Amino acid sequence: MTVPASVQAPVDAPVLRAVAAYGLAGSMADLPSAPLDDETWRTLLAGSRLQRMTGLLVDAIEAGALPATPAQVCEATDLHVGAMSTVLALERALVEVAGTLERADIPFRVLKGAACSHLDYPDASLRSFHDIDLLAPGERLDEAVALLHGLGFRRRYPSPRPGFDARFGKAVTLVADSGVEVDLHRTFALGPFGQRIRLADLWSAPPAGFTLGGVRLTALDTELRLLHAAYHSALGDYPPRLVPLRDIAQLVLRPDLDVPRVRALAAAWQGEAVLAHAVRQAWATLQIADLTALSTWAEGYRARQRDERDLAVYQSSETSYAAKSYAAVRGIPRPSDRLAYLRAMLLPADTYVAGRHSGRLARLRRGATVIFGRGES
Amino acid sequence: VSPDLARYRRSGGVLYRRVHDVVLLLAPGERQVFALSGAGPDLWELLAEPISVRDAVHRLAADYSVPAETIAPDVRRVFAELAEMDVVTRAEA
Repeated sequence: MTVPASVQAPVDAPVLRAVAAYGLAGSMADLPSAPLDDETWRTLLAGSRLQRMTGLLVDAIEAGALPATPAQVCEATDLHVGAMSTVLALERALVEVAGTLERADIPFRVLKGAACSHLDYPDASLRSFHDIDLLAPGERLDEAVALLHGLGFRRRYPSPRPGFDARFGKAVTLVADSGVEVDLHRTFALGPFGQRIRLADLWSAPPAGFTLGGVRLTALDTELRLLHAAYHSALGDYPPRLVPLRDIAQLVLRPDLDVPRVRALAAAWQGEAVLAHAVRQAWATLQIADLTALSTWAEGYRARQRDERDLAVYQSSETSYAAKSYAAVRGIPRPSDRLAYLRAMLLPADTYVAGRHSGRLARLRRGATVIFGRGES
Repeated sequence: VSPDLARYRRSGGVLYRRVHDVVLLLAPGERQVFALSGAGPDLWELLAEPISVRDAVHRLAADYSVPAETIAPDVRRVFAELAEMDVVTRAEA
């Protein structure tokens, strides 16, 4: 997926990075000592909204760490009120969706912002999010999608082929008329690293829990949340968003983090390169000086050539959804599954093609370019 | 029993966030977010545990150094509005 320039630009702004690091123990990122000029303030405000960190911005201003004019205080607060109003609407939808899945006895875990805000931040209002992410077992994914249809959600894109989502997909995105978006995940990432995740590990550990509107919800445990944040940061948007990096820092700095378990899971998923890359990036971007067992390991980790090659697929704003999808072939262990995956990508159902590409021929050409143009298979 | 002695607490189904000097509330079954400002966020903090209108008036009067009788009508009105929206419920005695 190509990231719009408007999303990329603010990540480079030092003030925005300092806001992203605000309140983190051990961060050396400096906030300005006087109110920002109008142009810099506008950039910071826009970046805070795009990066979903209006909570950190308001927190820094409220604490006096970021000096601001009265007008700037009002603008930041208004923006954050808007972000939190959206979050409350999403949480209302989450409670409704969770109840529906529970009544159908479909296991699920709340992922990303909706879970991290309540479990990993000192105050949930510090972490914004703009959609709901849930993990569901692949074999129940189609059923979960059908139930969400009953709640008024519609798929953003059709499935490439019947059964593809449950067998190979990363997530199904559903949208309601209200604008609420739900991503129903089967796994954490597209591409080869996503295919190597042992999905049973996501379900075998006792879940974490939090209460929302009187309803008890389940999330991944601390170590799995960290791995998800790392996969999301390293293998998602490029350049990575600041909020997933902050999530990583929040999780790595938790005193109860079981570091050997995190590393063992990453090794079992052949994802140590992903974990090390994400932790290094979080430490560098947020200028965290404190060393932890995991940050020290990440700093010293040297990825194998194959992993570097696979990581490179994700390390470009030009890398397309198709490129990641075709690269995923390398992560599928069974030849019969690889064949089925390739068949689904090369000969998708017409409804899928209509939603994403100009036609099947165009898709075949895109696929051929990606597979054969790089001289890899 | 005086209505001021009835104890209230936050409803189980309410969703909320504190933002600077405002508390945003989303009542069960509602789509419209409601904002509590002024002394409202402090009242919301008090409602984390069951509290009567009378006790809330006295706590807020002490916190803001104002006479209880001055703020009592406003506190009663806010309690009534919150109860009307199902944001707070009567606590069991």
